[in-house]
Order: sequence, then C-alpha cells, then structure tokens
Amino acid sequence: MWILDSVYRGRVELWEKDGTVKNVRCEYDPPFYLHLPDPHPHHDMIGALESEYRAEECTFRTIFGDLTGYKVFAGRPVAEAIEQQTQYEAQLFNVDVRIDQRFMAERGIFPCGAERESRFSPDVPYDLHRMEIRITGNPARSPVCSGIDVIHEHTERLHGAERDVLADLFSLVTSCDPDVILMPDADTWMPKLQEQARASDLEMPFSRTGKYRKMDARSYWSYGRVEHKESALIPDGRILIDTEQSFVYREGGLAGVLMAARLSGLSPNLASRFTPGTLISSYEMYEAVRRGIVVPFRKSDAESVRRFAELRAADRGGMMFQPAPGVCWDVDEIDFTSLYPSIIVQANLSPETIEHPERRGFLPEVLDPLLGLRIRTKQMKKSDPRYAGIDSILKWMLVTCFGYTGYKNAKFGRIEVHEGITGRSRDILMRTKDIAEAMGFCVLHGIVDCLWVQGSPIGALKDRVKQETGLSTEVEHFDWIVFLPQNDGSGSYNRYFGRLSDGSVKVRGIAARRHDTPEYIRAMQREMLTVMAGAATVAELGTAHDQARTIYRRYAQNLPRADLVAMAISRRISRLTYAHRCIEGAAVNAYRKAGIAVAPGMKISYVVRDARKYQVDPAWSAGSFDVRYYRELLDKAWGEISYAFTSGGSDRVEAAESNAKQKTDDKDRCRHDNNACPLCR
Amino acid sequence: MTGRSFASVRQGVKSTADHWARSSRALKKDDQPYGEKLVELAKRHASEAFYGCDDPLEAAVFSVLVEMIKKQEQQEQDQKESDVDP
Repeated sequence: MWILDSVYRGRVELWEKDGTVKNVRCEYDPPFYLHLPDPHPHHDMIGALESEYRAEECTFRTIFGDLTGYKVFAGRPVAEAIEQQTQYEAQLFNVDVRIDQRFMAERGIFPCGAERESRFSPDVPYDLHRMEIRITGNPARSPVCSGIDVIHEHTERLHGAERDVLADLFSLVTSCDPDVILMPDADTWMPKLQEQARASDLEMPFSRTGKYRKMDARSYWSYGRVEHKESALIPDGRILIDTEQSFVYREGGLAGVLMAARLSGLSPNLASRFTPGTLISSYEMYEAVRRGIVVPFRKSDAESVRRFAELRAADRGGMMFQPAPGVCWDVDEIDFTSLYPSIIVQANLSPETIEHPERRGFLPEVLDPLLGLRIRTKQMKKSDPRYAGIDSILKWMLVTCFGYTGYKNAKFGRIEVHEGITGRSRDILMRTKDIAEAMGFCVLHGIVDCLWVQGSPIGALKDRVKQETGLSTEVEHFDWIVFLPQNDGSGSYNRYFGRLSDGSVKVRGIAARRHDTPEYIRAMQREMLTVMAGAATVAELGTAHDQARTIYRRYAQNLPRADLVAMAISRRISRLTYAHRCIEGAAVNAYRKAGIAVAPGMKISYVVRDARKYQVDPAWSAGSFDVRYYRELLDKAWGEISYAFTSGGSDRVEAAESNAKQKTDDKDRCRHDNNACPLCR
Repeated sequence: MTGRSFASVRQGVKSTADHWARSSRALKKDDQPYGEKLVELAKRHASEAFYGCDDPLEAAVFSVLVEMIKKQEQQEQDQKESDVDP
C-alpha cells in the first residue's frame, strides 16, 4: 500500500492509495519515557503516574546507552508537569515525536512509498492524479477571486461572479478527485477561500474528510536571516502544495517533496512546508525510533565549561584562501561532494562518540545511507535531469545536518561535533592545497570545500585527493574566470563569474544572481554574459568588450523609458522598525499604507520613486521610478562585468595573453613536459 | 538569534587593519603611504593566518612579516643579479 497522507486525531489515520484512496484508522497510544537520576524523592509522583495514567518500569535505549525508568502512557502536558515538579531533573524521551511518524517508524513503513520498497532508492514510483489551480491576482491584496485557471487533463478558465467561480472550482475538484493539488500561494489563498465558501454557503472540497489541520504563521531565523511562513490549512487525504512558498517544491518539484516525505517519515503536506533543517531533524528522529532509540525531549548533554582561549581555538568556521582579483584562464574548480556529512561519517562524529570514539556513532550510522543516496543522485542527474530535484533536496538536507549539530535544541546535536567537523574540513582543504602544490598546480582560491587551481593533469589531482583523503570530488573546468574585488581592492571570496568548458557561464554573487536585482538590470547582465560566453579564450574575451559596452549604452539610454514592472526590487524584510531612514524601511511603510500586514521574513516588492526623499511605492501601484537611482544600480552591475576588461581586465587580458605566449615559448624551449619544472607549468 | 557568535580571525584582522588605517591618517603626510601599505600587508595573508592563529593581531603581524621577508629576499636577489650583470 502506498501511503499518501497521515494524520493523528486520537488515533493514527493513514490514507493509502492502491488504485483508489482508502482511509485506514489504527488505534495507537504510545508512551513517553521518563528517567529520574534519583527516583526516591519522587516516590509520590511515580505512584500518581501509575494510578492516574499507566506507568510501567522499563529499560530504554538512548544514543549514550541504556537507562532505567518508566514508560508513561500520557501526553505532552503530563510530561511538562513532570518537568516542573522535578525541577527539570527528570529526563524525558519521545514526548514530541509526531505520533503518526512514530507509528510508521516503529512498523518500518513510510509515506509516499509501499512496503518492501527502499527509502534510499533514488527512484520514487508514484501514480498520482494531479491538478493545478492558479488563481488570478495578488493573494496579499485581492480579497476575492474572480478568475481561476484549472489545469488537469486540459486547462479550464473559470471566471465571472465570485460565488459562481468558487462553485465551479469546487465541483471540478470534487469530480476530478485529484490526489495532488499544486497551487501557487495556496497557504495565503486557502483561508480566503474558506471564508468565501462559508459566506456563499459552499462546502470546500479540498479535504477528503472535510477537516483541515491548521499551521500557524510564524517568522523565524534561518541561516542569519529572517524568514516568514504563512499560516496553512492542510487538507486530509490529499496533497496540497503551495508551489510559490514551498522551498522543497521549488528546489525539488513533486519528486523532491515525495522523497523528503519518504526520508523524514512526515506527510508530504508537512514535508512540502518544512525547511530542510526540520526535514533532516525529522529524518534523524524517524531513524532513531526505527532503531529502537528514544528521542530526548530536552537536551541534557550541556556543553562543558571551557577556557575562552580553548573556545576561540575550537569554534571556527571553514578555511578560505583569498583570490587575487582579476581574470584567470584554464582554471579547474575541485569541489568535495557533501564534505561535512562525509566527515561526520568518515570520522565517526556523533554526540556520544566524543567521549567514546570506539563506538559506532548514531549520526554517522544514519547519515551513511543518505550520503550514499546523494552520491548516486549527483551522478545520475548528469545523464537524467529527472533526478536533479531529488538531488537538490538531498543536498540541502545534508548541508543542514551539519548546522544542526551546532544548534542548541537539536535532538542529536552537540557543539563539539560541529567544531570537530569544521576542524577536519580545514585540515582537508589544507591537505588538498598541499597535494595540488606538490603536483605543480597553482592554487588561486579556496572556500571551505572547493579549490580553484591552475595546472594539469586535473584527473591525476582528483585521483590523488581521493586516495589521500578518502573523499570524492567533482571537477568543473573554466576556460576563463573573473574574480571580482572587494571594496578595499582585495579579492572577493564569493563574487566571480566564468565560462565553463561546456560553453555555459557560472555566476556567483553578482547582480544577475542576486534575488533583489530589478529585472531590467538582471537582463542587461545576462545579455552581456551571453556575449562573453561566446569567448572560449582570454584573448577572445578581450574582443567581447565592445559588444558588452554597446549593450550597456543601450540599456543606459533606454532606462528612462523602461517598463516599470522591470524596476521592481523584491526583497525579504528582516524587521519592521528601522533605526535610520532607508529604502527598505520606506518600502515597509508603503506596504502598511496600502493596508497590507507585513511580518519579518515576508517578501515585498517595491519601486523606488525618489531615493533622496525615501519615496517608495509597492510594485503594483508604482507610477514612476527614480532614473538616477536605477542608473546607479545599472552602473554598478556594468562595473562587475567591465572589470573583466578594464582595470583588472584589459591590462590583465593583455598580461594574460603575453604570459600565455611566454609560457608557450618556455615550453618549446625546455620540452621537459614536467609539471615540476617551472618553465613547463 | 540562537547560538553564539565569535568574530573570526579574518574579521578581527579587518578590524585591526581599520584601526591601523585610521591611525595612518594621523601620520605626517610623507609617512601616510607607509601606513596605508602596512594596512594592505596586514590583510594580505589574513585568510591563511586564520588556519593557525587565534589572535587577530598575531595574524596581522604574521601577514606583514611574510610580505617583508618576501620583499627583502626579492631585493637581495635583485642586488645579486645587478652585481652579476655587466
């Protein structure tokens, strides 16, 4: 049976798909576990637990070893009362594991898959009836919907009076009975649709039971920035994906959502709404339960006291080598595949192995199959793009698994593991640099798990790195690459662009890649990069200068007459109050004036009308834009591109050509064909 | 915000270099270029110093000294070559 959805409402409900969709209900009342380091003072409490609920003495397994205690057949409120009564002396386990997830993990079954399938197979077989619903208008502003496109076997356009449109939509959903509904901004539209349905005396048919689970709206920190999640109404027995807001869907498509659900043991409705961090944390919980290991409610393995100097020495990030800004040619980027998770597995890093390195750790054990799967999908996506979405989800889950080891509330995290991973990664990057230099390569740049080198043969370097570190790498060849400068003139670590050997251009950190760049400016850089992509050598790159300059002049000339839509700046806001006047603050105020409730982490889109007076309009109501302000943005974007030709560029291009010629002459002269010879390099 | 944050050695060197840049402005006009050069040299090997140094000042001094030794050796080499050339 293929599990489509799961929910717990006093009992576990599974929605199974086998031709038709069937609702299976299972009685399930699992206990939580209690360990008291000194049970004697709590004799009365234990007696009360035994008589009021059901509490049985037992032994249970944690990642650190076995503990004796009780299993208590009660819910979270009782667990929290125990914590308070024992003044947080009690250690509690399996209190906050989702009950439907725990039910499936204990039975070795999982969502979006059938029994006997492997969760770690790169293939996700499914037979789901899909429907796409696109509602016209901006969900943050439009109180009503007057036009809807419904795409299933064919496309239907519903329009007219609001009640009629809704009635038509609901009857289509009822008659088509899809398993999956894809809807941009579904989580913003659904409460509105529900309200309208009530007012029009219609029954909303998205849920197969008529019931909806509610997820509250919230703003939260993630990787140093504030994100916002809309509240959501989640239907029963049917997958509803907000294709606009779901990170997992945007990265991995439907296959990515299904894979995330299989691995984490969560309903695809939840998997599509969670961050990769929550997914990896859920995956670890599912794996723990499956292996008979209890999941701690609160962490009790607090960090030991350390001297400040020790802390400073240990608590560092990844290694970086700063590039010299300018144009380089024939450069290879050598990139470790999932470096941090590989280190966890290879070095057996886990909270319990810090004190007992001889034991096989929980984290390496559960990450090993996930890492194996990622290595396979990374290979497979090269020949079959269908695997790209799944690969991307795996990549994100593995990236965040490292971050979670340093998160104070992570169930299976510990800061010393986090430090151990970054410490080893620094050594690995240094070792790789040493190997490269010993083989005659010139190291140009390095960031955490990547090195940019000049030299050959790159295959030999890759093999040698694999042999010495035991880690897999991927290599990309740049015909030329431009490392951009920072404001102080030194090389920037994360702003570069270059032409790969397949003729495409790889871009990092420049306007064309940034999310808040207006489309007009992005289009200019893209056009220039397309021209530059035609240059296979540094010499040819020099000849693209005139064409790129012509593009710049055309965009600069046409700027006053440009389409307003192309001037919109979209940005995720991090706060609602600003200490100083700024454009973003003005945009937040403009949104408020338009009657839109803003929250930190929300994405806003605005056009700057007058930058000097901080006058900004929401994108949909803009009537004009500040040409001078946008010209500055345009010039800055041109500066990034023209660096390849000008100060760091043309001189360097000429220098590069002259160096290349010199190298050829030297090579002809010495004929050693040996990388160790400075003339041959 | 959760977790804890340290300014990295790299960030520390940048802040030390900023102090040095400010101090350079107070130097006599003729000495200012040397102060500015020092700022540049302090930052040049900040990334590599991050691997071994915990103290930003130690990292800045390491970076400056490496460049000074390089320069000295280069001058000695140039001197030798000019001695040999007729």
